[in-house]
Amino acid sequence: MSELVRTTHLHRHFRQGDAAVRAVDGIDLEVDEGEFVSVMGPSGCGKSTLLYLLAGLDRPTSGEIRLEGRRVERLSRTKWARLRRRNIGFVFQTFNLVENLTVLQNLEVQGILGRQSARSARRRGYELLDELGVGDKGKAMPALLSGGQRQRVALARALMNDPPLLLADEPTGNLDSATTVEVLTLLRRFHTAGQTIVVVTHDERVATAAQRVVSLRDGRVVDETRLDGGTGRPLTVGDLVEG
Amino acid sequence: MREVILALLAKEPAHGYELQHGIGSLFGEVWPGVNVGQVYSTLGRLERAGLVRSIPVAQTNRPDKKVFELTPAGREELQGWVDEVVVGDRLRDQFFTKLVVASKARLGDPLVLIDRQRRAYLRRLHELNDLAERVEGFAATMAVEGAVLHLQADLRWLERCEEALHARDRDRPERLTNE
Repeated sequence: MSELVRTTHLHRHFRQGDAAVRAVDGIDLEVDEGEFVSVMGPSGCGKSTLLYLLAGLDRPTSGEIRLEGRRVERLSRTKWARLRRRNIGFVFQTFNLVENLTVLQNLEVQGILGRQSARSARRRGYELLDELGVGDKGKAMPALLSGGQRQRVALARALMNDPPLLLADEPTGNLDSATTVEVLTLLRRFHTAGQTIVVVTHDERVATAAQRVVSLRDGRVVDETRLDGGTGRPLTVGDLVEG
Repeated sequence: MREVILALLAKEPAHGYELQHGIGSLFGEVWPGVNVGQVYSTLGRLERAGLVRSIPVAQTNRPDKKVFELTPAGREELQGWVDEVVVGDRLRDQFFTKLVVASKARLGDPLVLIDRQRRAYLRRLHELNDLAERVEGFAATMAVEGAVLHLQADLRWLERCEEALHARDRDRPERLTNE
């Protein structure tokens, strides 16, 4: 499988008062096309900073970022913005929908920024809302939606331009556990359909929806665990309870 | 199984096959393959304990069948079981014991044990995520949910163990070299 993302010796340091913080302290990460990877760790471990670096929303102090083989860490803001619209979908913990646009308009704007025609953006918007189970919410204002519905809309927006890479920062951080499971099911469904996903989370359930978990501590990778490819028979409910 | 049979009989008298079917529709794949033999042997024990009694029902062209019903003693026993609060600390867990003794007896680095255990828990949680998408019904869904939440707690507990071990090594750096 071909490599979609690679970081080499990636660092992001900043000052906080008198202290130097090494939020990302030499991370080498590779994500293959079609992979679902989660980055996990306690708050302050640098996981969100890493994701923002991958999205060009923050700049590294040093090190390399390659996206589809191309060096991107020194791109200008404009070039990053253009690259991001077409190649990277981003889902935020706080949804970040434009509150005075309808749900569909939120998606259309994204599509048009990604150089789709107004008509194709509208069609794609409705398609995604349907796929995500909120097909009837196109004309609603975001404020009227539940948390789970907002995150579905945010996911639809992130996928509007069929980006090769989907990044999600604590996508279930503001959701209750039943809604978390629904959002996970959707992420897994998109992954099965071929979407490359990197999700950052402190929630073990969210992290283990992925195929591989990368654990961070103090800005460094301390462990990597492959979760798939287990041999033997699949787990059954009968295995969980004492008879 | 014992209490489940008592509970099913509390609703209405039944014979063995009805009970087997009742268990199946309540628990589904949580208890797969409960066979009628197990049901009858449990009924036999309950009858000897005076918690159920059997009434022969005549059938045409076939031997009598036995219908079982709950006795007052059985009802009391069942109510007591339902009302009893279940307290589980879940630290009888083998890993907990291994962790405590392994470092003492120098059988392994506790941090390595924790790492290995964390990976195993993460893999299991991944399997449970798969399973959660396959199961249906209250019993099966909630069994998976319970397993997920317990594993999440186990993972957080491993993190606490790790922090505590790091803190101990920081406070007593000589441990690493002298002990």
